[in-house]
Amino acid sequence: MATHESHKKRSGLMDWLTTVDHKKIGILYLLAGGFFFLIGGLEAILMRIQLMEPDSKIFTGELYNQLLTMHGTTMIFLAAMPIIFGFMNAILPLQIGARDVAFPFVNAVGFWLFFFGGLLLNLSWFLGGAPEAGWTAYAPLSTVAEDTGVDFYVLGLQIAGAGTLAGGINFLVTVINMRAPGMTFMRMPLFTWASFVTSGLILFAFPALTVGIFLLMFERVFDANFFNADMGGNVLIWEHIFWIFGHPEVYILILPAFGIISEIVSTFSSKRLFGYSAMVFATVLIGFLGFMVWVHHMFTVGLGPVANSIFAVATMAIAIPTGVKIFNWIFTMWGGQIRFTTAMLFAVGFIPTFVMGGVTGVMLSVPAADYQYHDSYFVVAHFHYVIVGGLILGLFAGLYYWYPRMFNRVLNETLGKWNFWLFFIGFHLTFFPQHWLGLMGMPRRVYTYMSGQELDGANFVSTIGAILMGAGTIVLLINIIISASSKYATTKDPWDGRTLEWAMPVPTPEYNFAQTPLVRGLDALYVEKAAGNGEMTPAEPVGEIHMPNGSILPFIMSLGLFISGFGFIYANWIVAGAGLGLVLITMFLRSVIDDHGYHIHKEEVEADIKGGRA
Amino acid sequence: MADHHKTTEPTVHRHEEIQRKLALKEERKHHNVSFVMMILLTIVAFFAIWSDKISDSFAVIFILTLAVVQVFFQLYIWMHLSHKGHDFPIWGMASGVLVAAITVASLMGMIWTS
Repeated sequence: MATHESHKKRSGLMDWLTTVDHKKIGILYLLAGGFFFLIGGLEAILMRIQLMEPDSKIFTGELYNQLLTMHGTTMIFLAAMPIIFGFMNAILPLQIGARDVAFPFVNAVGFWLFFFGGLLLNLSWFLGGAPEAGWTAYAPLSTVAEDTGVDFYVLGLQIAGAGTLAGGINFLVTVINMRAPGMTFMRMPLFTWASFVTSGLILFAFPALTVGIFLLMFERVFDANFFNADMGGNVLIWEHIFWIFGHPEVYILILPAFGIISEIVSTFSSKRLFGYSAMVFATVLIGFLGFMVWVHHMFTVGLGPVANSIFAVATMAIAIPTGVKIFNWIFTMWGGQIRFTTAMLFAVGFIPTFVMGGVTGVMLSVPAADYQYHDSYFVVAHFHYVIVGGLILGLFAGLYYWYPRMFNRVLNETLGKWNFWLFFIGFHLTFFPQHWLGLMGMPRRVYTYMSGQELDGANFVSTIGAILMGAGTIVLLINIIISASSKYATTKDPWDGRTLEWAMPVPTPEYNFAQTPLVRGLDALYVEKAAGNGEMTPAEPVGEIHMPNGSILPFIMSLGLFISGFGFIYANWIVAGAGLGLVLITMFLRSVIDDHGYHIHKEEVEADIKGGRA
Repeated sequence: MADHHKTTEPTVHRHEEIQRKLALKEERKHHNVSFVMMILLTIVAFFAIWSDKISDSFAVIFILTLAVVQVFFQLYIWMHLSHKGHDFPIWGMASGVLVAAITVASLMGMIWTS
């Protein structure tokens, strides 16, 4: 078949725009997510500068509201989730012994949708002001806001959310269908398990966000009245829909971090993970319970004691599987030969920090007490302890751990330790005092406070901490720049790894495994090392490898939605129609053009193996 | 032995083929029955709304029930959910239904009845 062999090698920018290789898409996710992480971090530092002194007038009123909204939205949707997707893309197929994800084209679509959605949202800064209704965009605040800020929020998140949904479905199918021979479900590494459950949560939670945002869009663009009490609507509907999405979202964020920590703790303790099956069960249970607790964000709404009690008990129940995980990590380290690399430092720092966030979470889950804590800095301290102290420490750990596999270089350990201590101390300095600020009555989302109310000292310390966190992040950037300019290439297995992603040479061949490996137990690579083989046993002879062709269509498709987003924001139906038309044309082209991919010939694979490249 | 093999193999083959044909025939029967049933159910649903003799509140519940039956026909007869290797789709749909049911039931309880 002629179509099989038509394969264009692209290079440079065009290669990155058209790639459907999960490893490259993982790097794209990481770079774009990292960029938005820096923007979100900058917004946070600006807010802390405003709050450093009482009665400060640097970023006040609407501008502060914009910073606050964009910090939350950017960090959740455009920084944390894409970086998670970056690791899932780069590592998950390798961990299960697959040559790619199930739908490489959809994978590229998912990335570009996220990218253009994030770009659209952030362009609001230059086009009449960013959204200012909080990352939760509660109605009626979000429906009556006059300028276009919230429209950017609505359209940007709608586009980015579609990309996330596509990614989640892709990983579900990948894990179910693409596992190597012998890789049963109960042999999958914990990161793969966590990503699998996270993908399931995305599948069920994101449609709620999509629907909610559609309602908000119709309310703002087409004058619908879903949330307008004067016209028979109900503002509570938005709150419910948002948190039906929003609470599972919290677990979408934290579960992959649990997975990363499990991998790292096990690897650097040179022990298999303690209580593997309990860990898997706990992960699934957290995912399951995550759908039944959303009302704990709404205790003070006045839904009544019955509703509040049911959701309070469900919330407290989540502490049980989470506790199982904490103890299992500790028992994994117990008696292990621990190596305190930077990745392990982040993982070890994660455990007590996350426990503190979890404990304040249980405090908040008591409705009667929540009436005191609600909308105070106590809540801010709590969720930053779980998201920064949990997720972000986990992502830093994952970055140092998997950097050699993704970028073929090891990050400098000395700078890494500076990064850890600056960030870790800075983090606790920033958020620990905020517990007390909250208990003393400082409300969140308010741009200033008066002097003489004993709020000055803690706020000052908090700002110093934020600057330290910024310094820690700058050390990371320096580390990355130094490693990028050095020629030093790593060995294929710098950490004495236990799982399949360390079984290939560096750089990872584009087809991952020249021969699909045979998995003979949990910690597949360790099993072979212990048996004295040192490398994986192949499950198939060397043969032709089928590869997908790259395509520019995902980029153009997402660009079309980006253009139509502007059309909807400015109620210009010609632009909106043109953008959607572009999407339809690319979908049509994708449907009618037969693209069977191409084959890498057996001779090339054999040459790669002989040359040590595969 | 070799001869023996040669004589048994075709019969085994024929046996499998007959079984497959029977299964196909059975399936075709299911398809025909469910096709007719689905048309009948649709007609019944239409009449429930069209007729003045059936109260509106009953009719709504009635056609919703019929819709659920139709969904089962669709999933099990036409989309072959009863066949082997459909564990994941069933798990996925069941958990989706569970999440949706919790959501709808709680919203009904908390927003529209209070």
